[in-house]
Amino acid sequence: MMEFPDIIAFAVPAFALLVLAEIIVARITGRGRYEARDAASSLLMGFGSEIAPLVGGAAAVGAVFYAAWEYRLFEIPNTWATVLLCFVLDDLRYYWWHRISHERRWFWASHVVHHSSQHYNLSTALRQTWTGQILGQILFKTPLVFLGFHPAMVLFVGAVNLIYQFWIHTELIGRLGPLEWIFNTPSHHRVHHATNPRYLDSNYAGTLIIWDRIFGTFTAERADEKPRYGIIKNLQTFNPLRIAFHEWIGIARDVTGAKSLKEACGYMFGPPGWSPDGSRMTSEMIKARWAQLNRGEDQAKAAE
Amino acid sequence: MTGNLFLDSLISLGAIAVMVIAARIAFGAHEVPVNESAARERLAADEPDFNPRAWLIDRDGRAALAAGDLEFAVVSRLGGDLVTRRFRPGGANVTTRQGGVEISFPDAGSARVMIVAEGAVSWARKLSGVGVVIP
Repeated sequence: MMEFPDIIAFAVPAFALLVLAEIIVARITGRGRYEARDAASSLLMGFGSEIAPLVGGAAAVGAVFYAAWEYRLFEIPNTWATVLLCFVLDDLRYYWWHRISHERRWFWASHVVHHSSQHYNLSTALRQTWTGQILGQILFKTPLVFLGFHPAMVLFVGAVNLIYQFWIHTELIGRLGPLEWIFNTPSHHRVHHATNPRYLDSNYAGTLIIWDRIFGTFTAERADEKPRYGIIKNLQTFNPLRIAFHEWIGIARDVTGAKSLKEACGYMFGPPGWSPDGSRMTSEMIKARWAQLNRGEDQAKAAE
Repeated sequence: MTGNLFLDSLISLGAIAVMVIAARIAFGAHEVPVNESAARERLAADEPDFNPRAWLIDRDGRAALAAGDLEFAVVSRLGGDLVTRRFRPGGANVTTRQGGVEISFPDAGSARVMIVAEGAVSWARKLSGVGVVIP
């Protein structure tokens, strides 16, 4: 049988060395910036995300994968061609998981962690959720196992995807020519992490940016609009516990204060920022406000 | 890694410490002082439809409070960065102490913001919604 090594274990030391290299290059060139406390938070979130699945979650994923594998639809052999196919399908799976993680608050409550830094550097790549990986793996990866891809292969291609996404979290690398058409790149992913209304809800890709191009969520980085990183309501803390759980606490508070079941469901599964009276802002509302504010400016430009 | 969870964790935490120290040495640990121009610029980016009409600036540069047409906004510092919160009168917990106004918000991602400045107490009344009519 084909062996699928634990490549994350090999990658972690390389991540640390690359973070150190980026700190040095960013300091020398003036491109990119580190805030020590922010980086500490990000790295501790990354550390916690490796520990969190050991509290029962990994076993749950194993059990669900085992069940899906027992009742698999097809016998898919372990070959390099099927690994490649599995990788592409898993990347498509990642696109939808990632998109839903931005569009539905239940999933956003985990994923917000990754976006909660106002900095964009390699340490941000490691700012990972403590609560979301399990749910994401069970809901979105199990169909691949059920199709007949070996669970070890599914985990392996997911790890390759994660490792790929590490290096794109940097401001040191500009545009990469024709690669920008096919692959997710630092430029594309800077847009994804930006809170500028023009850039909101864009570029959900993992490795292949083609999914955003196909499903209409692609936005290119503009030279005249530098991304501003973070979230709409940036956190006022570096505390990892509050970073990990603030949105879950927000959901709990909203749901306990909801006046009806419909409201409670809206708070849990509506878009982030949803409220029954519209007093909070969803990203759609923010984009609409921005479009309205800029209408005059655009008309003036068109008149010129 | 070694395969021993405890040892692996210690190695990881050690590596984290090295990276954080490197970032601290390379970029320092500066606190951005919040003044009116910095707060105005940040507010324009975060809340472009907010029209600040009056400012209360903390004398130690920890935060700035802006009064708009119907709402308020706080710009506070977080290390080298700034953070904004926009709210209606009564939308934040407001207390006065030591010649300043302390503001806290219901969301779990927020922290208490203290602004010590002349006139802080009269601002506190407005922030609480006392004597303010919202259409």
